[in-house]
Amino acid sequence: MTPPTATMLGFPILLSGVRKIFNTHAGNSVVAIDDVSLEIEAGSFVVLVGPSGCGKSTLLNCVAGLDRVDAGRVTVNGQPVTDKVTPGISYLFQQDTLFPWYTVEKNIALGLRYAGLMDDAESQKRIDHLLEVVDLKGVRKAYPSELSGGMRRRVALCAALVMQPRVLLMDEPFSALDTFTKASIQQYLLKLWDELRPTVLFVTHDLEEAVTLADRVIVFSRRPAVIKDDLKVELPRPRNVYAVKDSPVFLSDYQRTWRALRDEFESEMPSP
Amino acid sequence: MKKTPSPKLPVLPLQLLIILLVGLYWQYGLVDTHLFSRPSLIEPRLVELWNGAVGLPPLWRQVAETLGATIAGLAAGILLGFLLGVVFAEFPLLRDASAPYLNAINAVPRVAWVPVLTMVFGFGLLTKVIMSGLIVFLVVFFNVLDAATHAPPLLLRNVVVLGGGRWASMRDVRMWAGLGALLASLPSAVALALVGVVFAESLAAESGLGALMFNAMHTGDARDLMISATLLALIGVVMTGSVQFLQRLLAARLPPDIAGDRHD
Repeated sequence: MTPPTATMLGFPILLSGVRKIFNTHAGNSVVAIDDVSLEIEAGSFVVLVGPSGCGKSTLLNCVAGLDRVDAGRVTVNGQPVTDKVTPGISYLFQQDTLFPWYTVEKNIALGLRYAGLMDDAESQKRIDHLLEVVDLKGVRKAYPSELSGGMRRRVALCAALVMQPRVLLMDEPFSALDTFTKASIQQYLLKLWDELRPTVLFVTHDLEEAVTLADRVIVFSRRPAVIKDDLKVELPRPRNVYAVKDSPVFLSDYQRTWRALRDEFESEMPSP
Repeated sequence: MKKTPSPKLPVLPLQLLIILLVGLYWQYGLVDTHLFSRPSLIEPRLVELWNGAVGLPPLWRQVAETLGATIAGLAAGILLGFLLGVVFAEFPLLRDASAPYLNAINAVPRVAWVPVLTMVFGFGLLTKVIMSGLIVFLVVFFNVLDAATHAPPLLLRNVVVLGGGRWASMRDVRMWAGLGALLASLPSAVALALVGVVFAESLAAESGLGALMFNAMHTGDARDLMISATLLALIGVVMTGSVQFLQRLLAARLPPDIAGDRHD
């Protein structure tokens, strides 16, 4: 793979005054996101946390061009997001999106095929490299149903990264995995992110995950979502996902995030 | 799923015993020979028909014609039904615009097509093939359309995000979703293909087993009736068997999720 260069760095993302309204079946309109402005630095790893249903995923969709904002502006690399899929993005969804009828290899290559880059020797090298990094070389001819949940997620991660995206959108990608499988795939992710340095927008409910991965954790309030807090994670890079959990910096960052989010839940907490 | 090993040995002799007993009763038992004839009466007639009795094409050609029309109709119906099913699933406007007409065609009793098709295509092979193709098409088309329309929406969205267009949606998602439905509807498609051909032959054709059968009914010839009925049954069994074989062959080559055999 081409070594990461300055020109390969991720795109900056800018949200200003973003507002998103949903119409419910009952005919009411609900404000999902209200006046969110956010400046995301090129190549940074930003994690969005907040209560369920607060519109974090909607925000990702608005950046991806899958959903349009009702007010405000979203730009990626200075270009306003349109109705088309934003150029340069890859999107890793929460649900399993591997094509069950294609092998691991074909699944990873699909985006390349659409881009007409399949016969490129460079593309083959990229696939080989990704499979090597995530330790899936042995199963490249296997079908998704023959793999474990963790392996399937790794394949999906490769499929997202093979396009060498400038922006990587991740919507609770590891929420269905157990603690240790999750830790290992987080390590794979950090490794690959460090090679390519795309800008990452990562949605999660897991505060431990947020602190482990992020440069910056953005805490959203309940619906209508506004930005409640914006925390810088002080942990140094490169990070060892297993080792950081023991560091006092991790603990204090975790506590700061926890406190920021706690107020949002306090009203519905049963007394001990 | 573990299959209990079937006791192969006792079944085959039993099956042979059944046909032997039926045959023996038919030959020597209390049977109205005007209605059912007897094997000993049928045998010389079979030879006669095979070589071409007066006014009739040789039997082997009739068999070939019926079989050929069935296979051609089956192939055409499956191909067209599958392709249009996938395409209509991808273009809802096309689907919705043609829905009332397709439903109308589907609602017309199948036999009613024979006079119409005969008017247009004449008393020949083409009418039979089109009749059988139409019936097969309707079954395959509606099944594939349904499955391809309800293809996993997540995968369809993923195609879009990966930069694929309509062609990619059809090729990488809808086609595979439809393929499962196609495989499942194969046995009924085979049966219906034969039904279509025999319909067409019995109502409006000069040769073929269906025509032989209907002529026999009109002339009250029990021998011809028995011969054509038995041959049709044989064709049906052989075709169903071949399709089941094909189904298994395909299922073994297709990825597990389509063959309906999920591992997880």
